[in-house]
Amino acid sequence: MKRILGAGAVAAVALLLSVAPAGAEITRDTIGCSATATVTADDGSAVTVDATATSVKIPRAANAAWHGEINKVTHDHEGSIDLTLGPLTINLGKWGPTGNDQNAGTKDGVTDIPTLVRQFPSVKWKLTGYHKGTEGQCEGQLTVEVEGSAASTAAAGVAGLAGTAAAAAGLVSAARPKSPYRTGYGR
Amino acid sequence: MRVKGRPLLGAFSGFFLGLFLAFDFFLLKVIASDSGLFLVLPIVLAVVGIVLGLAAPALDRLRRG
Repeated sequence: MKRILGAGAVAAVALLLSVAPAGAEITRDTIGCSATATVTADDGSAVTVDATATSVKIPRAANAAWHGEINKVTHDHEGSIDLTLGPLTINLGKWGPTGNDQNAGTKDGVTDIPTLVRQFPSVKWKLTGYHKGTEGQCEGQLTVEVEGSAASTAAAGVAGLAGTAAAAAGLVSAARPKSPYRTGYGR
Repeated sequence: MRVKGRPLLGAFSGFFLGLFLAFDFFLLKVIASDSGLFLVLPIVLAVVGIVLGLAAPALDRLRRG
């Protein structure tokens, strides 16, 4: 049993070491994409995030004002920004498909920050986005930390530890055989 | 009398142990929200749980000598 747990621990460490560092990255760009987002906290302080920043930490806020720009105007284009949570993706916004007959090269807007992200403790959220048209495309990813409250951190921490302890107790119990004499009746 | 194991309990417990461990790592900022550990840890630990549950009678015999 110790060997099995040891092998599991080694595999877990190997996976942890393969986790990508925090920050933003334009992974593909053939049209000169750039973008910024400004998040204004309840106390009025504003943080502007550039898509090429290496480390991003934003205050808790209801929404973010964004600005996107491309050097080479695209047509018949579309795009999307998603938040990745394990195997799931939550769409934060999408545009197109549209012909872009006006030859627009910039766009501005305001996007609501999901309640899930706002209520959660300070953790690392991964955002991915893309814009593609007939002339080319760009893709990027961004790791963003939203400031969390002490109450949400404590609640999530307690829930996480309690769940881990209960599941570990179940696993230990599974490693013990059923007694053929125990029926469970009369207890 | 033949002693039986608990592979279903092992699978269930292993799956949730993996899920909660990934969640703990996420809270501790060791991993980001897109980490593969959210998928890999529950699956790996569910398999470990099944193996432990199936091997429980043999482990018990080894323990008792």
